[in-house]
Amino acid sequence: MTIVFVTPWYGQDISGGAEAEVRRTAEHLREAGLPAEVWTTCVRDFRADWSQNYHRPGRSNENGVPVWRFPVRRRNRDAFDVVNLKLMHGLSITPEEEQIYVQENVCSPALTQQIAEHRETTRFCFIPYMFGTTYWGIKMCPRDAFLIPCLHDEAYVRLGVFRDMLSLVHRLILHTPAELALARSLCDLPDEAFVLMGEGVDMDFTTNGPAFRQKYNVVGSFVLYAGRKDHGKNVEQLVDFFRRYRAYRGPVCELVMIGGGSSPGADQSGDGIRDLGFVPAQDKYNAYAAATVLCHPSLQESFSLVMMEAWAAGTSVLAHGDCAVTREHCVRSNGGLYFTNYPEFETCVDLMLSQPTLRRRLAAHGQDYVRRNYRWDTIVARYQNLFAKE
Amino acid sequence: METNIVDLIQYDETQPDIEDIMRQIRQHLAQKHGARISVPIESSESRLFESEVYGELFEANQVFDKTFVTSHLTTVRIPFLGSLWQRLRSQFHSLTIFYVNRAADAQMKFNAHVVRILNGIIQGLDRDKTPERIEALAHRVENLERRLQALEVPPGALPSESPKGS
Repeated sequence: MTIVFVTPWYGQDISGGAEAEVRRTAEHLREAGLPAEVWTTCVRDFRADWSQNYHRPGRSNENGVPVWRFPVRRRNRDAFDVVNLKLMHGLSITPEEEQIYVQENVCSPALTQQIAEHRETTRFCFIPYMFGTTYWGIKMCPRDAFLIPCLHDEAYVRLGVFRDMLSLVHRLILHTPAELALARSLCDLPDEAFVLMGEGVDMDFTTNGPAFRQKYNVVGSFVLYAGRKDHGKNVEQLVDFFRRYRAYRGPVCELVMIGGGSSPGADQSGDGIRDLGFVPAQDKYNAYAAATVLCHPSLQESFSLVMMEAWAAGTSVLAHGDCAVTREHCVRSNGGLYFTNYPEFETCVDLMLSQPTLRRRLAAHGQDYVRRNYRWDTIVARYQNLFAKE
Repeated sequence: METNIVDLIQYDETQPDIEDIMRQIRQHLAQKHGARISVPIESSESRLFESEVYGELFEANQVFDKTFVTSHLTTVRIPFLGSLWQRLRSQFHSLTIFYVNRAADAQMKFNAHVVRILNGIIQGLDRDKTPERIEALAHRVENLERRLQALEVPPGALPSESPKGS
């Protein structure tokens, strides 16, 4: 039976946790001989206009994975934005506004129709939970759908429309015990519906820390931030805390940021914050190896690939203690520290900078944790088991 | 000279335990800043208040210093002048945040005092074992009332004022 991943956009150059997960999972399942495909829309990516068909509709093959793209319909972006802005600011919305959110979300009637027509012969894995492709797709195959929701505790997940949708699916595929606990609190499904899968992490990359330092002229100790620089990743707090740290401690280290988006006020003279923007994948791996510590301040994660990659590269991490998932990774691996306020941040950075033995030991624990739980062969075997049992 | 907390943290170099390290960090920070003290925990031995009170107090201990705000700028879609307008907005936000956070800092210090006092009151009352004392006092009052009743003679049982046989 064909395994189809349904996702709102797909492409080799699209960044983002769920986007990268579906791409790499589909590729690894194909390599292992499973008939995995991707069905998606013609929209370019998350930041593009969700009414615009950037790609041509039809079938193609991308890096060994069959991809089928479907055109999207026009949507009322303004109506959607009003509701979305309310949710982003933590305001409650009415059931009517919930309907606007799903009606005016990214949606392809042709894709939905195909799902309905192939429901008997295909296993559909929808990812992530909050987009129209998932919402309308699951409606076409309730009780048969597999959902990789990529949950974190946010306003969207508390909407009635999504809680109802979660309770409809056949299997919920989850990344961590913390995400599993959240899922259990949100929906009424039998125990066997919850599948603790994890996510695959590439561990076979090579690193060259000195090459990164030379290329970007980075000298001395530095805290690394890797990822999109936006509000949802809590980057403002990291920048604020680091400025305070430099004000108290002086120029003992720098904050180096890599990834898309614009950092809030970075590169001001003398504040020790350098935003290198988007860098090639090899430079990212080199940056992990060169860094004193990776700091991941995000409060909303369902897995956190960057933490895994940093550990795989042999670097310890500093996470936010108010994020259940990243904190749980630190505790379970015994491979990183976490902070919930400025004094804790300051002490953790002091500790990481001054104790190289501790740093190395924590990194080794983290590396072992990734190897034991999230190697690709482990994840592929779990998917094979999951589909073999169905 | 002030001791650096890092110098006080002890761990096994061959097998460091991050939960233990984090516990030590919090403990030393509490001693240094006096902000976080151990929250009274509801126990079966001394349950003076409803469990919600302990829950609320725990929450207060978690959020009393979360008063700082950070910038949240929405994207501007104006062609040509958009980036200039965004820079101006960014500067204005930064200036506002600077003053808001100064006020937040003062509020945080006040919150810390209030939370410490509340923790102290609850801990003090719990240590006092007030419920047991109230129960003992009630028991004692009950005993005294019983003894008093035994000493008091009902009016009908009083001896007649008129001499017997008159």
